[in-house]
Amino acid sequence: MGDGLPRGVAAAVAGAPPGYNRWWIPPAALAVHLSIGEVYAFSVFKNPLVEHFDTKLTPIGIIFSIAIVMLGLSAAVGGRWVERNGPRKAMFVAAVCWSGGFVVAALGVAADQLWLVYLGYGVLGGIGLGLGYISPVSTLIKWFPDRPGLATGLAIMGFGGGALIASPLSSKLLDVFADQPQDAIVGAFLVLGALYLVTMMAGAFTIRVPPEGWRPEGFDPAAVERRTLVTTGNVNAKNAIRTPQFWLLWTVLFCNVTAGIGILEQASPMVQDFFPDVSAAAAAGYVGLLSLCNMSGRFVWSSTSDVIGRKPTYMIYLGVGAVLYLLVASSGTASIVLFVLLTGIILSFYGGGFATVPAYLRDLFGTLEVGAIHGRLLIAWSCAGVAGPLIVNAIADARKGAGAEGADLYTLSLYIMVGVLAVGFIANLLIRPVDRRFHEDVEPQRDRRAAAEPAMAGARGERG
Amino acid sequence: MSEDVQHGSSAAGRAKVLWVVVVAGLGYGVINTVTQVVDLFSG
Repeated sequence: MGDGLPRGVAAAVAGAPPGYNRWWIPPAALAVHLSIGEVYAFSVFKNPLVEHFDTKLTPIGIIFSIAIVMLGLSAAVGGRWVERNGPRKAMFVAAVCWSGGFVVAALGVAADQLWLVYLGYGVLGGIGLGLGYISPVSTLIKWFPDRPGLATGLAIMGFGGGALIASPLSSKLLDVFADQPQDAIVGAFLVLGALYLVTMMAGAFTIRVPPEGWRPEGFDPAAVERRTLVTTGNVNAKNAIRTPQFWLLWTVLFCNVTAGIGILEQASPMVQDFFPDVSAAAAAGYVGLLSLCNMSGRFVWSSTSDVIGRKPTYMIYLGVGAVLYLLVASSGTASIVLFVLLTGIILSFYGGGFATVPAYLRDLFGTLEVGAIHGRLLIAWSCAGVAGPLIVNAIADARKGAGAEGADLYTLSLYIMVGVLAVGFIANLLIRPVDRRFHEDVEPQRDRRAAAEPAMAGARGERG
Repeated sequence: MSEDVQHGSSAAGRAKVLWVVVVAGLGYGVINTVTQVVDLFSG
């Protein structure tokens, strides 16, 4: 026992026995990310909650905002705890918080206390989101040193895919438990909480950390380290935030997410404003299509980054992304097919940006505390989650006030997003390898190398 | 060591089941969304 957790959890930094297949790790990570990805389907509960509490959309929208802010904060604050205690304990706590959040929120709905829903789904659930999001990342990178982009892309794709499962499932549960959706929320929350508890626990008890010094058969670390940005050293989380590279990458992520989330959040009204013939139902289909692009981009682009490198991949996200935004702004109304194609690719870049960033951090800062550094970087997500929709909504409101309509409501926002992406592009260009003075144990390593030198020379038969 | 191997094999068994669960879940989500998109755009 330890930390008040069950024995199987507390005992574990959960090392893998010899010969353990590394392909048993991704489903454990996916189980967690598919579960917490439900948060993107929260909109299904919005109208039933508005009806149940007899309130407006804004107080209900706050639930999601609290959850996303808590995601960023808990990932930033809890990152080092996750690194110290290992993925199993982190996933266990994430599962308890996430499913516990549903239970507390269900209590809030049953008792007509909205603040309990804020506390449950928002605060408690948000902590589960943050810890669950970062918990498998560094373990995956250690198991897949040859293909970190593929491994993290696979897991983080789950976060995008979670909503695709949760959305129809939640709708069905709301139909099953009562005649009116607003009367079925408690039952739906309890079933989802139980389902996610079982799924995430299965992930927690399956994940294993590789043995010290483990590497896949035929893998030559030197081949990877020859790439310009890939470090041979390790930087701890405390030092990482003192490097310009961390803040440049923070800017890159912030710009990429701000641009993507601006479209994602406004997708349904935007397509209807660009093309007045599009019905609300067809707009919902368009939103589903964007979710698919977001999800598949996470896997496809992150895996591609293993081949072409992280920096060139972000040059595509930000550079090509800016050109695509320009095309949407200038000729998006020309054809709905063109509009859907352009925004679909933009959303695939948005997802790709999330999935590629852990591997980029590994390249720059090493594997020592990559999970903790990733957690701190995710604050950029919380900030972009506020900035992106704020830019698009505020400008659309102002333009509407000035008498503009249709696509004109968004033109200025789209040009601003081109500028935002250009800033990110420049930040990415400025990223250089981290100075060696930030590396851990530089001196001891050098000392050990110096001490080993005569012995190695002896082994090679050299004489001074 | 033998306990390690035992734990490893039960984790491997769980992992196989989890692969089936996550692939089935993702498949359900993707097919559902694609069907919805096709229905809506063709309708």
